[in-house]
Amino acid sequence: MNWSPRTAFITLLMIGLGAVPLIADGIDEPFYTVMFSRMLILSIGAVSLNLILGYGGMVSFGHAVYLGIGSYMVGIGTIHAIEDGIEWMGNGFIHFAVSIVFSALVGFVIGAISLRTRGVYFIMITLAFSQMFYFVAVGNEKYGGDDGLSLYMRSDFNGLFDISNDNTLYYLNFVILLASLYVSHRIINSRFGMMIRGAKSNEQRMASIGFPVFRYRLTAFVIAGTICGMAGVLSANQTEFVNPSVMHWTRSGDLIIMIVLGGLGTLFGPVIGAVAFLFLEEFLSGITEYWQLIFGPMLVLVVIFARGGIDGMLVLLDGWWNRYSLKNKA
Amino acid sequence: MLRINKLVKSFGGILATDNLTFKVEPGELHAVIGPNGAGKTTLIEQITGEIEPDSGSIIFDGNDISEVPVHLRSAYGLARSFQITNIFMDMTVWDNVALAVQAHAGHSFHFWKNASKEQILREPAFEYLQQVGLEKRADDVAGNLSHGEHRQLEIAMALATRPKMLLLDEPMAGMGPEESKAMVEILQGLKRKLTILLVEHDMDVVFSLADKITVLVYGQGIATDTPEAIRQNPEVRTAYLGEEETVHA
Repeated sequence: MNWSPRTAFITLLMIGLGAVPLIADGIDEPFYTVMFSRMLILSIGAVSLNLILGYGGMVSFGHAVYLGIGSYMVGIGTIHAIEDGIEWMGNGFIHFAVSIVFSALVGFVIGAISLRTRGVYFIMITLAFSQMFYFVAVGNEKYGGDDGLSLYMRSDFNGLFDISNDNTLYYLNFVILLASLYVSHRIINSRFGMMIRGAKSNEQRMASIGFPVFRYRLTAFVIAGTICGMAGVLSANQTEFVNPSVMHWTRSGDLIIMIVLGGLGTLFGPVIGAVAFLFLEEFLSGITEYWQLIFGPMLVLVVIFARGGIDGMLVLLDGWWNRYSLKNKA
Repeated sequence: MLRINKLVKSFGGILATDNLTFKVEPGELHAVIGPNGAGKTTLIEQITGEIEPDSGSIIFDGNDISEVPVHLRSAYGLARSFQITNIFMDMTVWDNVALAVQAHAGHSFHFWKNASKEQILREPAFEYLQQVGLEKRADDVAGNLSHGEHRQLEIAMALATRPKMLLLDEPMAGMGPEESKAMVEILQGLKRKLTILLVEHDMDVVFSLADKITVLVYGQGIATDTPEAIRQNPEVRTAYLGEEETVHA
């Protein structure tokens, strides 16, 4: 394996993420486990959005809707499990299964309508759909309405593992992140992935060489939604609280920002971006309440000067590194 | 092979295709010429399905394809190269052609296997690259090719869809003399292997390659004939060739 700076950075990042609970326990700061847990969950969301946005060129501005679906499945399920004693509704496997199915259905409907449009119209329609779900949640008094729901238990996994322990939940998040990265990696290099990337690069040509672009895009849209729905299940368990703001449009915007910050259309870019985003949020909000005032200009600079985001900078660094090591050999 | 039947298309009162009728025989290299704005690209785009005609019909290989969507016309055996280079710039040359092969290798709902290691896609793709003389640049990113090489890649991609008929929209546009010569050789190699409809500005190329020529002026087909007959046709000379020559003089 060629240890370029980029490979080294990404490897260290992933190993580092894997070791967070150990370190946090070691220095007796369990708060870090919770903070990084959030990073992992939003990483999963960003990885899923990157499939359609980064590789497929579909700028969905409503991706947080699936975070909401996953979260509410847990919220609603655990409420009934505790208040009505319906035990199976507190089951984590059922939460995942129902979220996947429901996210897929919603993704199919939103995709089937919005993917007939392009550009700004696509952005607006996906945004409109997600706001629709947002207001449904706000208006639904039975499940907390605007105030949301507090979870009195986390999802139960038949005693296989117990995520009421923060470290166990952390590793569940970590495993699902690794799985979604691996699935992404397989998909983007498969025939299906080539097709999706081709349609981003040149849709007219895809049609003229004989691809029915729409149905492949729709499939990608549904896959991305289901993965993000799983992130929603994890998110609700993490915060033990569900309210409509989890699918507010600003949350969808955050996911896009994470991808752009980390590196659009790269495998690890969304993870790097999610970690960097939440780090900056944590760090900057310690300095000032108006942390976005500093974050905004930083993002503008990244977009202008580093089109490939942080991952793009690492690629540049690799270039310098290669030339430097060549010179040393000569 | 291809029959254009009383085809009409107007854009806001301007007739881009005016009651056009002509026929392309199987195995023929049929050229369409005409001055700028004669409606050549509009004609090609109606044949590929990107523009819908107002009336008239397009019969390809015995099927009326006038209403068939773009991606299905490819399945019927029609392939097109574009006037403006239209490829996947951020992929490698080989990937570009492999993707075109993939389009006709069953559905693409394969989510797991690495497509760039599938010999069933890669090998035929490489053969098409050889046919257009691009095999040495197979692993380069398509965006880094020269203009002439882009056109060669266009043709390799069109061939990869295994068409019965190739629609070439000004394949020599913007090429230098060396590049044009290479392209003429490629077209010579393809002639008789499949039916070709060639839209081209370069008169030398058209008259040296074509079996039949259709002359288009303001959307109307004023003649369809052999190159010799077209050269002699007085109507063509006044409407088109004469005008061209004074421009070149």
